[in-house]
Amino acid sequence: MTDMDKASVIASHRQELRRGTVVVACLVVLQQPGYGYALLETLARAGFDVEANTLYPLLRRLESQGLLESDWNTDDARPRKFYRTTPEGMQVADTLRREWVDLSARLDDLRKES
Amino acid sequence: MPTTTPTLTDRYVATALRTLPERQRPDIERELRASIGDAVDARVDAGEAQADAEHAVLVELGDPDALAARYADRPQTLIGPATYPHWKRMLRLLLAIVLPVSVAIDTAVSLLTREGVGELMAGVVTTILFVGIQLCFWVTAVFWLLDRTQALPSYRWDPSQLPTFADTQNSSVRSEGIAAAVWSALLIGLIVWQQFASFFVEDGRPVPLLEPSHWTLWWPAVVALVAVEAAIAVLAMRARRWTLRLLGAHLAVQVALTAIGLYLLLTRQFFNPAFLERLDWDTDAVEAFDLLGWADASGPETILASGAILALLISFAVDLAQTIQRAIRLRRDRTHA
Repeated sequence: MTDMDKASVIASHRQELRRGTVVVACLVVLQQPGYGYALLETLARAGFDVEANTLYPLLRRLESQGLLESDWNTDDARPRKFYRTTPEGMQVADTLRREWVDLSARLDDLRKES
Repeated sequence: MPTTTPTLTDRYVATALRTLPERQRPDIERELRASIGDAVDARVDAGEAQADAEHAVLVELGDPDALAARYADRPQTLIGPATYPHWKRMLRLLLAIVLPVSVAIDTAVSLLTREGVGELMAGVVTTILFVGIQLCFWVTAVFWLLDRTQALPSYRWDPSQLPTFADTQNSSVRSEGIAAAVWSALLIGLIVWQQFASFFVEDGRPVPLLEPSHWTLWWPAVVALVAVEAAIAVLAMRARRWTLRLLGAHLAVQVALTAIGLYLLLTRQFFNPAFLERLDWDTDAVEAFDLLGWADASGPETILASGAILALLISFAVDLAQTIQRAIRLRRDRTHA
């Protein structure tokens, strides 16, 4: 395997591992209401590489699942759709975060055993 | 917002929206425009030109149809993983049954209507292409519908569906052995049969296809070699695997058969001239295919000889590839054992 192959294998596993974390990150960040582009920036600064064309549809899906709610803010020159995490969304975020911590602990256990 | 000439963003948004449900469009449009606007502004603030910024932002968002599919949560595959195994199994099964049957029917009809060899071959090729493409299309269309409507019962695999162990170990050697034996028997039968029965009769005696004077050496040699080839395949079948020695013997027989065939064909001793004279095919098209350049050869001779040479070369190439593959597999198994 060349170095490039290795790098692409690692990249694909990493992407697989990180896939679900974007949802948790969104639900956590949006406890404070926010709009699409601002959220994209916040996530990028926090080290969550998510594409705009993934994030925007994801926000609508989470809204349709009742984990986010939205309001149009027309105070600014540019009207923006602000999302906010619902109480149900907070519960889901807590469950998923506990799962994440749990998985991390179990991985540590496995490493110690071997 | 749209002015007299639509901007790139206008065109992008319109393209993305066109496949989305009507009632979602206004909301998605407003939000998408705001998001694009925010991203463009951020780039312009960082010092990019307006046009470059807009272009870059749209490139980042990517294909508008793909974006729309994500908004609508539509599947982006024709046949998803749940349906794919059913589709593949069904298509393979149907192709394996329907294609040979169509070719057989086609051949039978051609023989009954006494078409020439050229028409027969053209008919067979057309049938394979036509039937194959139709099958692939319709099976895929039906399974696409099943995939979208989720009409297939969820596929529960069960260990009882496993092929028996002996089958997976020996099935290829066994079926190859049987096929080689049947094929050799047919070939020997044909070589002998054409001597005693023919489409053409002269003075109450049949006119053979192959040069009859070669029964003193070449044709018996060919019959013997074909028989040896069958015997080798049967030996491999009984041993349940190929060995390097058997593969070597097989290859030697193949080389000998191909060499004899090519030698007789290229020196124009293969076909019986009396038989060739009897053929009165329409041979206007022959010149286009005349690769041999025999100035005094008749159309039928050119067709038969070039067809036979081509068939010999192709079958030798296929056989050689298969033999090499077997040898590689043998070697691999041995290093693993």
